[in-house]
Amino acid sequence: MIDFSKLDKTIHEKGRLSIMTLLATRIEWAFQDLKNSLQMSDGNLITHLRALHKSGYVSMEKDTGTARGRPQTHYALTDSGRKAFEDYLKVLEQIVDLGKQ
Amino acid sequence: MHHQSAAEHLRVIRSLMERATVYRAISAPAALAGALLALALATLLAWESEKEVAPAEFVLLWILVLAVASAVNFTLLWKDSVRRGDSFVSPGMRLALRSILPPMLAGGVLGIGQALAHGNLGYCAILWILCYGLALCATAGFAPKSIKRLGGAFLIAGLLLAIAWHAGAFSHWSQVSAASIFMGTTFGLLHLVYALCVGLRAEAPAADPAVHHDA
Repeated sequence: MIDFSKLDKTIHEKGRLSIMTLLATRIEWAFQDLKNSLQMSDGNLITHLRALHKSGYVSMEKDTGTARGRPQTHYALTDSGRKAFEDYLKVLEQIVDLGKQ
Repeated sequence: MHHQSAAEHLRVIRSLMERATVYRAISAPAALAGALLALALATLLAWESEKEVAPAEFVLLWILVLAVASAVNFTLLWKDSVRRGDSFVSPGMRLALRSILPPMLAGGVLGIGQALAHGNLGYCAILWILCYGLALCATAGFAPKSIKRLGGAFLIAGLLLAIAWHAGAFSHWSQVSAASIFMGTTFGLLHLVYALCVGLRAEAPAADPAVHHDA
């Protein structure tokens, strides 16, 4: 029996799911790299990142001393964010398996 | 949630993860340019092998081919990054350079040493082939399959040539002829096959329409 309560509503939204997916591939991502990879507007991306940060899934660190002199913010998955993402994947896989039966 | 919707979500996740982690360090057009240059130089040197070709001259000519092919490759990678609105020195490129440079530098120094200090052009070519194969294999963690196969092909070719070289299979060949044929068949033909395979398959993934940006 699938526990649908594990299907995290915060992650389930496709924009945030895309962000969580990219964050899961590396230790950290710069804001600009996330923006370029997802082709999102600044406002959209910031809104999603704030929602994920508020849920405790994403940590952020401001770097003020970049080579080009522009401050950059780096984002990373927290431990709880990584666990929530893995749980979300497991529920998806269970749903897909159930559909195959 | 319907199972088809779940499968679609999983497909989006997989596609994004692949795009985020796969980096092609050698573009197909650059490989084709490098292949044609290598074949042309190898043919010229093998043809002219009766004439005296100094080891320094041999090394300089092949470094020139490497420089031109690298310049073409970096130009194409830069154009691609501009088209995608990405930074040229992307995390993927940094990772690729960190993996490729150590074996390339080691092979370069060892090969040039063999050529200039001992006049051993054949062994110089074998070292370059082996270390180039090792460099490509070092990117296996994030490179597409075609690059891994190219690295494997260079490694196998280099090892077979090294065994044959030590067994004296090329002892009746001149150093220039042997080295030129080794370089032509590997850097020329293998890159040509790679360029044709990648060009025909057009591996570049298209933008994923399933990624929505609504808040």
